[in-house]
Amino acid sequence: MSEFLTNLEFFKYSIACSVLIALVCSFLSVYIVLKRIVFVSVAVTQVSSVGIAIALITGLDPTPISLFFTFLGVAIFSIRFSERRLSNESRIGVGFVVASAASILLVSKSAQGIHEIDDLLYGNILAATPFQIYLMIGIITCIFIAHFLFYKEFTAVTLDFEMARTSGIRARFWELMLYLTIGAAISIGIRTSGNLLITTFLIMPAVNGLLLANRMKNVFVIAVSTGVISALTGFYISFYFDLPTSPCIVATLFAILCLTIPFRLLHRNHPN
Amino acid sequence: MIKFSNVQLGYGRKPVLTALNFEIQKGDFFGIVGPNGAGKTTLLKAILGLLKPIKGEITFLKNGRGRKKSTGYVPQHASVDEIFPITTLEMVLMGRYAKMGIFKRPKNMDYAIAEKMLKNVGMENLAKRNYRELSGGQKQRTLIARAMVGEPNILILDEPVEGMDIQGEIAIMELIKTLQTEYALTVILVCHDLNIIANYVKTLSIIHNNTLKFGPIDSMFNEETMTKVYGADVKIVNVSGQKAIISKLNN
Repeated sequence: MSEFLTNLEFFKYSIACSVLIALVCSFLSVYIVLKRIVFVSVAVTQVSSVGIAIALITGLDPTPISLFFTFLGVAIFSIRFSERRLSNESRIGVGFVVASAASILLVSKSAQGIHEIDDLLYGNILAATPFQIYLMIGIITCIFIAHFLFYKEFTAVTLDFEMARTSGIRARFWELMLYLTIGAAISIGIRTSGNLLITTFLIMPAVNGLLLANRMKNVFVIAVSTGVISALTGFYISFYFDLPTSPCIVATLFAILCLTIPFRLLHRNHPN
Repeated sequence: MIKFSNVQLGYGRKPVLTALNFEIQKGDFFGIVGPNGAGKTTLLKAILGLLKPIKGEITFLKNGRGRKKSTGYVPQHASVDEIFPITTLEMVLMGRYAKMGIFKRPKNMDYAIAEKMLKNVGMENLAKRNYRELSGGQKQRTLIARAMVGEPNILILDEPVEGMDIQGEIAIMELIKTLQTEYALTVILVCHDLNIIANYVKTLSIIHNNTLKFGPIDSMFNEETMTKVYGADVKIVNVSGQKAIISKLNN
């Protein structure tokens, strides 16, 4: 631990980056899991990677390109088509595999090749810069303000889209806004944290929260706490055992989930 | 109150219902029936404003001045996702979100209205219970309360007694009838249970052969029409003043 603390100065931006991504993605994961759009978030993350791949081979700034591709993915995947011939899920699946192949093809001929594919998948959290951190803080603040102001609208379109529409809420607009906040969180994190970690943070914290809590507020608190604790613990394990950071954080989240399941089963059998 | 003028409804270019010409009057109890796949949901979506007509016009009138209607929609309880961790009271409160306006949080008045409506539907003791822990009938009552807190003048219900036992069916239908009287509502109901619909609605509309026929329940609910619409030989009997439909077996 003392060695870790000694090197804290060196890792401060990386730690801040993982905590910020954990904070925002874990919060949004509650909407993703409740709205049953896990596959949409995975596909959008993959489309965002295409933006990063283009930035890697062109040498352009990855953030705006990733942001553009993420919003493009959000726009495409949020449209509800009639499912008489094809399910929306299969459309999203096609988008996911095409985006995966495109990002690999784009970087495969670059000078660094396999290293860049690694970066796409696992990110490069150790390369986080102060500018990236400030940008993240700015965007995350905007996301939280939007969710504070429009909690009603976001929960209504998440729970019951048709009820929201018929009661007079502009459901399509608010659904798009919700997706855009998710897209913004993906874009700011994808370069540093990578596909794997972003996807994990967008799913697992909410699963943990929903297993443990019976109220929305508590689900948010547990999800965010789980995400942040996993980010810090995973980072420490990564340092201590000299392992890649993202898989360590994912493993920590999974370990927490494994501890949650017996607790949930016990609570279900003895609710009082 | 709601007027369909030569309306054609469908998905894409494919019409499901054609030549719809009817008017739902204020205070009516309007029942929609028809065989599976006839287009009941399509018609309901159009009334709710979720589906635009391919042709024709749907007009929502109030006092003949064309003011926008206020609808309360009660979906089938099975269509509301149970993984949502909210209480019965919070579920009902959601029905007021549109009324509260943007940036606003629920106030004491909103809570009071939601609690009063829970009391009206006989659910006041379950306000703090998780929605997912309720029985089918209790969920249906909660969804009716959610639709009612928006102070609608039209209450639209999609299969409100789906999956319930006889006692539950009667309780829900009696509740709807009471609410209609108490709040001077126009009620539009889609229901596949003919025995239920025959004893509650004032106007019966039957979807058959891609169009809709309607009229007072007594003139529409007869053996000839029902046999023709459902393609089964049926008999309508009157038991203690209540109508009942039974199908005649072939042998």
